[in-house]
Amino acid sequence: MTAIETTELTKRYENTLAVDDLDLSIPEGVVYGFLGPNGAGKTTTMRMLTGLTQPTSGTGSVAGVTVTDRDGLRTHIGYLPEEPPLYEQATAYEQLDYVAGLRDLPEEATRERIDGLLDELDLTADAGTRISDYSKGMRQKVAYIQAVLHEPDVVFLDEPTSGLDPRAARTIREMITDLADAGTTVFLSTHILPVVEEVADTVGILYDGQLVAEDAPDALTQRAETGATQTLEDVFLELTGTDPAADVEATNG
Amino acid sequence: MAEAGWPRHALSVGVFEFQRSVRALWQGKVRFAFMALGVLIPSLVGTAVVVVFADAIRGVEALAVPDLVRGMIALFWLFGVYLVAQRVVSARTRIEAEPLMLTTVSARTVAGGLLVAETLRILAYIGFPALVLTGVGAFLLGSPASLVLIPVAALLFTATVVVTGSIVGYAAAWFVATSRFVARHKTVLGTAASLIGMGGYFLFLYPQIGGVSQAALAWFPMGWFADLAAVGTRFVGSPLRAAGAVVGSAVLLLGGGAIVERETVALWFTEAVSPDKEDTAQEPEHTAASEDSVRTARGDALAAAVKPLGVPAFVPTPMRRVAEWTLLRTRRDPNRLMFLMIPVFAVGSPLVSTGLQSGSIFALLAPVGAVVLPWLAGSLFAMNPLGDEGAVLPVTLTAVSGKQYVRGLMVPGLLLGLPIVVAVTGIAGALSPYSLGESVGLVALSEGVIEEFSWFAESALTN
Repeated sequence: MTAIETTELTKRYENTLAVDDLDLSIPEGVVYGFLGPNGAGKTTTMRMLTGLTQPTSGTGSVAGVTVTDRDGLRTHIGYLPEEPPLYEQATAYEQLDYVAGLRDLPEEATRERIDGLLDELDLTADAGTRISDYSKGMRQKVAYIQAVLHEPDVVFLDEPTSGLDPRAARTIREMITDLADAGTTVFLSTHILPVVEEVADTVGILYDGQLVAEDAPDALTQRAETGATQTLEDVFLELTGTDPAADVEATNG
Repeated sequence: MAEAGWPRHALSVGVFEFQRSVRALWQGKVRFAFMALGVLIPSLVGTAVVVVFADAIRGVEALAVPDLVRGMIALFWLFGVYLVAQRVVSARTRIEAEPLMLTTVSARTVAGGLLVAETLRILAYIGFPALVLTGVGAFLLGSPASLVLIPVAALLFTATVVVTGSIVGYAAAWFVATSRFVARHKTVLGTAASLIGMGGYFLFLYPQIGGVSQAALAWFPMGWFADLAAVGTRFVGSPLRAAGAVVGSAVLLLGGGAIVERETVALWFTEAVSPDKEDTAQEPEHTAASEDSVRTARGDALAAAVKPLGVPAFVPTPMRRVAEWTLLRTRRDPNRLMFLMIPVFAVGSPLVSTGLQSGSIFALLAPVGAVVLPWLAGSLFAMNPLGDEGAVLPVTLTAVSGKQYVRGLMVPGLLLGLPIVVAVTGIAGALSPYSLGESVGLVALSEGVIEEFSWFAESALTN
C-alpha cells in the first residue's frame, strides 16, 4: 500500500509556481529522500502533504487520507519543520508532556517513551531546563521527539540533522532507519546528501517545482550511458544545473 | 471537524499559552513589577476606599441601577473590544509553533485556546477588583448571590469582550492578508481606525467634549452586566436585563466562537499577498524575479522604498541610511507603535480629564506639547533601538559608529516630529491664557527638550 500518493499536485503563489504537477507514489515503510536546491519547492510540498497549505490543483493523500482533510491527517502524521516549533518558556519535559496531552496519548506509557527517547538522544540531563537555554542541536532533538512521539504512520522531517553534532546526527540517522524498519514511512528533506545516501531507500530530486529524477540512490549514482559511478552530489548538481565544474567550463568555453 | 475532546484540548492550550505569557513577563523582573503594581495599586486603593466607607455602604438604601452605570459598563466593554481587536491584529494573528499546533490539534482547538488564553490574561488584570466587588456585594450589601453572580458577570464580560474583539481583529488580519490594497496601506488604515476608536471612546468618557453622556449607551445589552451583578444587593436592577445579559453572552460566545473558527481557518490556511507586488495577470514564472525586475529594483532601493518620505541628501550617508531604514521599518511594521499606546493612554487620559475639568484645555496642552510631544516624536521611530535591530545589531554596530547610528535614529523624529511639535505647541500656546512671551518660551522649550533628548540618547546609547 502507498503511504504518500500525489497526482499533478501543484502550488502557485501569486505569480510564482512553487510546485508543478508533482506525481509521487511512496510505499509504506520506506525512507524517501527529498532533495532540491533552495527554493525548489520542497518545503511547500511538505506543507501541502501535512495539510498546512492548500494545493492550488491536483490531489494528494497521506496514509490514505486526502491532504485537504486536515483533521483526518493529524493522527497519521508527524512533522519536524526546518525551524523547530518549540516554546522558549517551556522545558523539554513540559513541551513534550503538553504535546502528548493534546494528542490524548496514554500518560504512563508516553512518559516512558519520552524518557526513552530523551535518553537515546542524550538529553535527559537537560530535559528540565528551559528551551530558551538550549543550543540549536538540543532544540532539534526535542522537536524530533515531538514529531515521532505518537508513532505516526508517516513522518515528515525537514533537515532533521541540521545543527546536530556528529554523534547526535548519527543517532537521528539510526532512529530514522529504525522508524522505517518498524513500518513508518519517512519523508526526509535535507541538504546533507550523505545522510540521504545512507538512509534513503528512494531519492526524489525536485528542481524548479518539478520532480526531475526519482530512483534508488544506487541507481541514481550509476551513469546510464557509461556505467561509471558518480556521487549523489554529482547527480544532484548535474540535475539541478548547479554543477560548479560545468559552470566553469561554460564560462571558459 | 474538530477532534474528540477539543474543548479540553482548547482549555489546555489556553492555560499553557497563559503560563507562557506569565513566564515571558517574569523574565523581565522590572517590567513584571511595574505591571503587578499597575494591577495591585488601583485594587488596593479600591479596597481601602471600601474599608473606609464600609459603614456607609452597609447603610445604602434600595436604589435603582442608574443608566449611567450601565452606560459606563457598555463603554468599557466597547473599549475592551477595541483593545483586544488591536492586540489580535497587531501581534496575535497566529499561534506560536504553528506547524506543531496545526498538525497536532484542530484549528478550532487552537482558536479556542487563543481565546481562553486572552480571557485569562484580562482576568489577571480585572480579577482582583472583581473579587473586591464580590466582597462588597456579599458582605456589605448582604447578598450571598453576589458570591456567584459578580464573578460570573466579570467572566462573561471578559469572555464576550475577547470573542468580539477577536472577530474584529481576525477579520482585519484577513483583509491585510488577502487584499493588496489593505496590506499596502495598513499603517494609514490602522491609524485611522485607532483614531476613530479612541475618538469615540473619549467622546463618551468625557461628556464635556461632545455633550454625549455615558448614559446614552445604557440601551446596549453589554451594559446589562450591571443588572446581573446587582442581583440580590440593594441596587435594584432589571431581572429581564440580567437574564438578557446571560442569554446574550451565551449566544455571543457560541456564535462568535464559530465565527472566530471560520476566520482563523481562512487566515491560517491562506497565503498572504505581497504588498510590494503589482496586481498583474501575467503567466506564472518559475523564477521569483526576472532580470528586468531585478534591474528595476536596483538603484537607490532604500530611498525609493521610503518615498514619498525622504531624508535630505545633506545628511551624511551612514546617518541617512540608518534614518531611511528606521522610517521604512516603522512603515512596514507599524505594530511596534502599539507599545506607544500604553504610555499615551496612561498619561493622556488623566491629562485630558484634568484639562477639561480646569476649563482651559489649551493651558495644559501647550506645556504638554512642549515636553511630551518631543518624546513621542522620537519614540515613534526609536523606542527600542537596540531591540529593533535584533540579530542585525552586531552588523550595524560594526558598520557605523555608535554616534552615527544614534544620530541616524533621531533624524526621522526631527524631520517629521519637530514641525508638528512646534506647530501644536505654538497653536496651543496662542489659544491658551499664556502671554505671547510665555508661548514663545514654550516653543523654545519644545526645541530644547528635543535637543536634550537627542543628547541624552546619544550618550546613553553610545555608552
